[in-house]
Amino acid sequence: MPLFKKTTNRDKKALIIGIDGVPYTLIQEYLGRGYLPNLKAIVGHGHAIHQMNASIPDISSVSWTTFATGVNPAEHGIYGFTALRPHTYSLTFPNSSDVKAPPLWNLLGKVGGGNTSTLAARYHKKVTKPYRSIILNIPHTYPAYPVNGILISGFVAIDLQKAIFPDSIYRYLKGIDYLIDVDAQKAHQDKEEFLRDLFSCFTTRQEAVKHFFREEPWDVFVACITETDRLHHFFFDAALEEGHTYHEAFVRFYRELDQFIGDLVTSFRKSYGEEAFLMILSDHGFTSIKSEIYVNKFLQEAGFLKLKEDGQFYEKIEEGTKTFAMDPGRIYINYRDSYPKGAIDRKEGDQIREEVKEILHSLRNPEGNPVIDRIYAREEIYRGPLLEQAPDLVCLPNDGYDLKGKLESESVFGNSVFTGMHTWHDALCISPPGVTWDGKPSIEDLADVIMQYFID
Amino acid sequence: MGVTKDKVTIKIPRPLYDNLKEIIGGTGFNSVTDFIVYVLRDIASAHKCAEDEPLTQDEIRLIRERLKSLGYL
Repeated sequence: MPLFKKTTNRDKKALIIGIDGVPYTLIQEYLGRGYLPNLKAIVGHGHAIHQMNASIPDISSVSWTTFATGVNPAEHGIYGFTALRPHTYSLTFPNSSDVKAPPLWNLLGKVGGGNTSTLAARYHKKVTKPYRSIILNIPHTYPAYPVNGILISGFVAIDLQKAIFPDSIYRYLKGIDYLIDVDAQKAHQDKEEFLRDLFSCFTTRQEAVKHFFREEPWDVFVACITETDRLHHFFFDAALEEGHTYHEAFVRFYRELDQFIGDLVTSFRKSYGEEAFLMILSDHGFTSIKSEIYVNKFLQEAGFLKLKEDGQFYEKIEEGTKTFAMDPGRIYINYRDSYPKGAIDRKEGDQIREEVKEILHSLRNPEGNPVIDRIYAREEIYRGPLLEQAPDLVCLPNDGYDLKGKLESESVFGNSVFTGMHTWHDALCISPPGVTWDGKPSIEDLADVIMQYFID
Repeated sequence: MGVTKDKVTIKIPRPLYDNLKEIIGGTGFNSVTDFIVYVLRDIASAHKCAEDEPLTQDEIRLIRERLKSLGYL
């Protein structure tokens, strides 16, 4: 039975709003406190609100790429903000050209195409007309690439001219002083000034969203608000504590977000009716940090990692290293056939993985509580042709312990300017009426629902 | 050039081999072969990078800064 009511293809419109790093539990709390009247009206209007699992690891580049392609990292190829160049310890920064599966907007737009992912295989022949998309500020879409419509890249976009497709929208964006992202470095020096910038960046983002929503033709409109994630990194401790210096500003930001979503959804309903597709999602949750955990320092102290003084980042790895970590909890075995200073033969792999798992599970905070909740072997969580590029193990911490991939650190535990950390289990999805899942949904499931809407 | 299942033998001039053997003395490379494989892999991946890299050095520097400012590096 079709999931969605039959409409003519011409009538099909989808509005998808991304709110980066917004936790399900915080939204439920704020709905209860009455801070979010517009979201409350949406949820009361037949939309279900779900707690959702993010990608593993639970960071924006991986999670948004998983959302966009509807496949897991072993198919789309993005495992983190950083990677190592094959057979070296040289750090690279994966970008949009490294994504090996088509995003749903290019499947719907009939751009490129063919049977290039499991999602594409299910749907590419069923999309009967090219749908036009506007994609605004989705992370890991930089440099911008051709779409049937408009693409404005999100984090970590640098140069606005390379962050847009087509070029003709440059003049408008320049004219409103469009900001790809707030300067997070400012928060390290002056939190007040950073907050002002954050609100101002959000204002410009809203202006751009409303402009393209109103002025351009489209069938699929996907817009992401990144400022929530930035607010959380530096102020999450203020989310629930009413006496906190920044609580009022934190809640004010959420009220503004609620108003923005309310206005956009009202325009959407007015133009395209109740049957049009609305989805709101976050890419991961957030919680307060108890301590940052420098995984490489722990591995070093346990004798699994040896570092030299010179070299940049992972080029510091020395002979005798068994394993090393990359942000946030990706563990790589230093295999002889994979790395210049590899020390482990493939046949020893299973044994080393067990040793590493055991030692990481033994990591306790000063009160004796375990830091790591679970450790997955790559074949347990990933499936696809790019499995070989996956980390050998991936750790998910208990809430409050923020796993860091940094190599140099004085100690295993530490705190810094950050007060919030990502969570895997507490992302959010507000789904269209009638959409349900057996069990808890995952961000990987959403593209399928969007595709179904357009082909039913 | 000899071929085994997953390795091939490449011939290089003897004086070059002797020279490399001297160069790697005390550096941590176990053999001339290890050293040559290391150098060639580096060149091969740098070449691939130069061909395909859609990001400039300046962009990479700024990406590092952005990631660092959010605690990812």
